[in-house]
Amino acid sequence: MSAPPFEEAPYYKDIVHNLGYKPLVRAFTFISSYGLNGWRKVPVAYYDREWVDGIGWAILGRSVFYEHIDDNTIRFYGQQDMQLIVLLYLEPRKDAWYA
Amino acid sequence: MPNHPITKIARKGFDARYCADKDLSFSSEWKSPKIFKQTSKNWTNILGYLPSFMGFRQLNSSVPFTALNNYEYISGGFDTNCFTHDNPALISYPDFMGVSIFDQDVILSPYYGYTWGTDWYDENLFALLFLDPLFGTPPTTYPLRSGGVYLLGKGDVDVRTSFPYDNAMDSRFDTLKIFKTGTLELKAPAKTFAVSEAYQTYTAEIEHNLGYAPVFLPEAGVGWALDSSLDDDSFIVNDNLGRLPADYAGINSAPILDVWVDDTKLYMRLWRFANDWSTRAYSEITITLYYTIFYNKINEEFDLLEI
Repeated sequence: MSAPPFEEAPYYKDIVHNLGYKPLVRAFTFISSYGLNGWRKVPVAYYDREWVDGIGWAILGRSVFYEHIDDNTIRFYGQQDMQLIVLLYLEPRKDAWYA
Repeated sequence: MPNHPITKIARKGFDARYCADKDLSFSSEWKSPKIFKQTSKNWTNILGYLPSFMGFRQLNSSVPFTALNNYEYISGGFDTNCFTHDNPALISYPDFMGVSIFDQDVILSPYYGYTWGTDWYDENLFALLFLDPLFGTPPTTYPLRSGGVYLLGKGDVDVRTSFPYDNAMDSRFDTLKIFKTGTLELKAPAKTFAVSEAYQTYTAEIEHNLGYAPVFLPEAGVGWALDSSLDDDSFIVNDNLGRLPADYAGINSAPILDVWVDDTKLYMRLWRFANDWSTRAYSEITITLYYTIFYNKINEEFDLLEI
């Protein structure tokens, strides 16, 4: 699977879990949007405001998302200095319990 | 080896003393999820830290429930015409909808939006709140209630006084209870759409017959516009839930995948659309969902916290 377009989320960070399979992921990130600051489930798309000299406030589309690079690594994409909380669950695991 | 007792249960065919953690059914060294509250209303946080949460939309009053998506484009209730997908259904304020924690408190905002002239509203929204911390540090003590309580500790804390998050099992709180697991496969044939041909849907379903809408995993929702890496290929739903959706769905645009439950079944449905300027060919594909259905009822409300 190819990585998402760079411009959608210019920063990424890998979590190497070495489980040998793709675990259930639940992740949350702290976003600021229109002055409302809070924790949201990932993946999330939202709007951010940024002051641009000579222009004023610019509305920017932001996103935080992830993909399983392989059976041992999860790559999270987002913004610089974002806060991200990731919970990995050993179960339910697709190749352990399923017929 | 740790110098405290550990309770382990191995899966069939494995020896709990020697097998890897992945081959265990249970270990008291693990923290099991502990649900302290289910609610359809905002909650003022009294924990002293931020709890993790799970959310489910109730799409309409005739029961279908689905997991949350935090997207700008999101499908509305089943009774609206947004499922024709002539154009994507817009959610009015995606930043503010769903389940969030703002400041310290859990805020629930049922989705609403419009699809080109038609407003749509979700029937309701439910949150499961877990003692597992999202942010902050849980306290170290918790009052032990009188009466029968079953506690199983990790061995390095006193189960009688420790905060329940630190116990392996704690009967004072609910947890996710597995009812059924399995594989749901949706097979879509190769098909070439004529110009402006009507959309086609393909559905796979599995019965649970619980009589209510159960909590399910993975957290797949409705209105997932499949991006270019998924729109004409076989894939596993579980492994792709971290992806953002395609920008647009419908005619000339992305297919849609819906996953939802009602009081008898779990469903997965694929929508394919034509172009209005050329033919459009799709390959034969299989979409696989490794599902877990829990005994937990999505729209049950309770509060088990005493602080």
